[in-house]
Amino acid sequence: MTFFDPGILQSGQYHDWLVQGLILSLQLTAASFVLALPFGALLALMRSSPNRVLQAIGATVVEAIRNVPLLAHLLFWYFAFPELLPEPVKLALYDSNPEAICAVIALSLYAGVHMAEDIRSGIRAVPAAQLEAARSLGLGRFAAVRLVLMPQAIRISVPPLLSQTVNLWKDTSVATVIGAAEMMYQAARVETASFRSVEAFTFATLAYLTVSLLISLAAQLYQRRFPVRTA
Amino acid sequence: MIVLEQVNKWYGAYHALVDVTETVAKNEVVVVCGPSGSGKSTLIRTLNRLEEIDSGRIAVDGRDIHARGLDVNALRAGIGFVFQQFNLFPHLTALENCMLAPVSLKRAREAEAKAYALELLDGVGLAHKADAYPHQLSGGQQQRVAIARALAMRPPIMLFDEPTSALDPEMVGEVLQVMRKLAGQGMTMVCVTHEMGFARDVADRIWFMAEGKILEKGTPEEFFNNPQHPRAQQFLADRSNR
Amino acid sequence: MIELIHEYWLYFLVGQYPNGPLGGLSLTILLSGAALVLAMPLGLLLGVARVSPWRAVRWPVTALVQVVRAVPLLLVVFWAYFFLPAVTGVKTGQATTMLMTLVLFDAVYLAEIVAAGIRALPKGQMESARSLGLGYFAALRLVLLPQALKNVLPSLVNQLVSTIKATSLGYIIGLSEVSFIATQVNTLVFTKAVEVYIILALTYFVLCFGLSRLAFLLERRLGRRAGRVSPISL
Repeated sequence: MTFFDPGILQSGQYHDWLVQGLILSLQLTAASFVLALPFGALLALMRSSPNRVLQAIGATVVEAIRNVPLLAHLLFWYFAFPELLPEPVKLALYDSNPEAICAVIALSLYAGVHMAEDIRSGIRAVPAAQLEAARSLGLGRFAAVRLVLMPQAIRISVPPLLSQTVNLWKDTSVATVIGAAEMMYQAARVETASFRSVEAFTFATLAYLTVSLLISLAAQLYQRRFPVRTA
Repeated sequence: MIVLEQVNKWYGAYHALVDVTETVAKNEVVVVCGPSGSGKSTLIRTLNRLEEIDSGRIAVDGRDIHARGLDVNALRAGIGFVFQQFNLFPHLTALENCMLAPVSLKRAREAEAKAYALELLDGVGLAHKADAYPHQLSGGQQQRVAIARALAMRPPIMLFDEPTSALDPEMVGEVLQVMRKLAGQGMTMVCVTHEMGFARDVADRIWFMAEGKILEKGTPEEFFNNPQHPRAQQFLADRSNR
Repeated sequence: MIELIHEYWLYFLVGQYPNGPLGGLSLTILLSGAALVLAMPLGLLLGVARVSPWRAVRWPVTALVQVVRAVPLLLVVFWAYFFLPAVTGVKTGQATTMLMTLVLFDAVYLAEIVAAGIRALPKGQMESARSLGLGYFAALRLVLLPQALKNVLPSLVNQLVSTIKATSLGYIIGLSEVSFIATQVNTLVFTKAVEVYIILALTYFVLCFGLSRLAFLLERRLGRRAGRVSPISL
């Protein structure tokens, strides 16, 4: 048996498994991102609002989700959550793709709260004087936030948000615990079937590295194209 | 004591020091003044190699400071440097700040270093603050501790880079007083400063710099009463109009 | 829920011990603490290398840090658990594998924390230390690191929180840490999934939230002692 046989990575059954895994990992990332970002933005605005109740709710949600590991979230959504659903909904869930659906729920919430913190930092980084200046020009509160605060906050937040996206991409690997057939699951499957751990894990390593580095590169390009300029 | 020969430094395309050639004799007090951006700080920082030069020669006590094999740390231990921002070590008391270098460089045993440090702190009027931390001291007090710290290494030369520029006006006096005393004791000093009163009273010579060149290099009487170069005349005129 | 806790609290806390290896919450805490402590020397070294003025030192370490951070922790666990035994001939147990992986993971993140702490110090500190004649490493040892390490103490506590959460990945290779035990209990009881996993979540929450509050208080106290007002309290 040769030490490293790239052949199995290029065609054949093992190749197919790994590629399917990669595709699902990308899909999980995309779906979770689409849900996490608005969720995070909402939480960030709640925590930044002057309303004490909204602040408290936002803080509670963030802390409750952040201090529990992703794995425990996945276990909850997959094993416990369906029990809370009314019977027909539960059956519908099991009929479709429960592993992927529960994975997306868990990942969206987990990534969402981390994005919320990054967006909140971005909002805080804009000097209060900016809002004051906007209001003293006569802009209403909502307009001031929309036209002056948020554009600056977003520019500051984009690099950390892209960093969170890398984390989300890496976190999809944990979905294997509930049986989602993403890349780690498939790599382990190839290993069990063929004992070719090197090839399978090398594939996974290269895939993760490539996407992570691409996203990080995007962050650096963004920072160069849209640098943060203080007043 | 200090010899500069054709010293040049560039920051990219910007010529920061232009063919500077000067000497500082032992026990001499030289004040360097000039408009901002003239290269005063850069010049003084080249003397203990906090900045590197691009061409020319600098010798301290007869030895080329850029010679191969020269121990930069030994050079710096022999030159005291006082910064505009004091740069005291915040995690150490005033006394510990003064003792750190002598003890860790094995110049003195701890008891000796402590005794001398206390003596120096007393000399700058801060013996009673020996156990205070920098954040508990005012700016003027911190700068005086910084001077004591530099003196603890018993250097024959002291360099001052705008020592009072970061201080509130009422604290400038106490620091200048320490510097005057040092000058009176015969210390070889090079001071970059805007304090013209100090320059007039204490300096043996004044170097006026603009755009990287030393344009005037006379005694205080010559400089203040009869400046030769138009830039120097402009500089003094501006200052007296304030 | 109370009966559940009453019945299984010991199992949850220590796993099969003393009739088997240590497991459960104790294993989680012990593993995290050990990993962080063991990672400190390496993290310190890598952190100093990250801020080194010599490119030959800085670049390889930067590359290592970037690569380790670009790859999921689980993947590193799998490499260690499945591949390493094939190469070394030594089959490491789950706990040892997790420990090795966590030490690497922590060392890399500690390196970033230490590097950030050193970079955050005013430039004048290194300059004034060098101008007294102290060498580069003496200046690091006596002036920069004592300040930097104290300033980053809150980040170190947060790294402990991250490590505690990371131990949960041991589940996937069959390590009896607290999430694994919870699932065992769930399999035994079968009808109380919601309660079991809420207890698991609460356990992590109390532990991690408690530690991050500690970090927050540390940060406030450090800011106050230095005479600066911490931005968080504004």
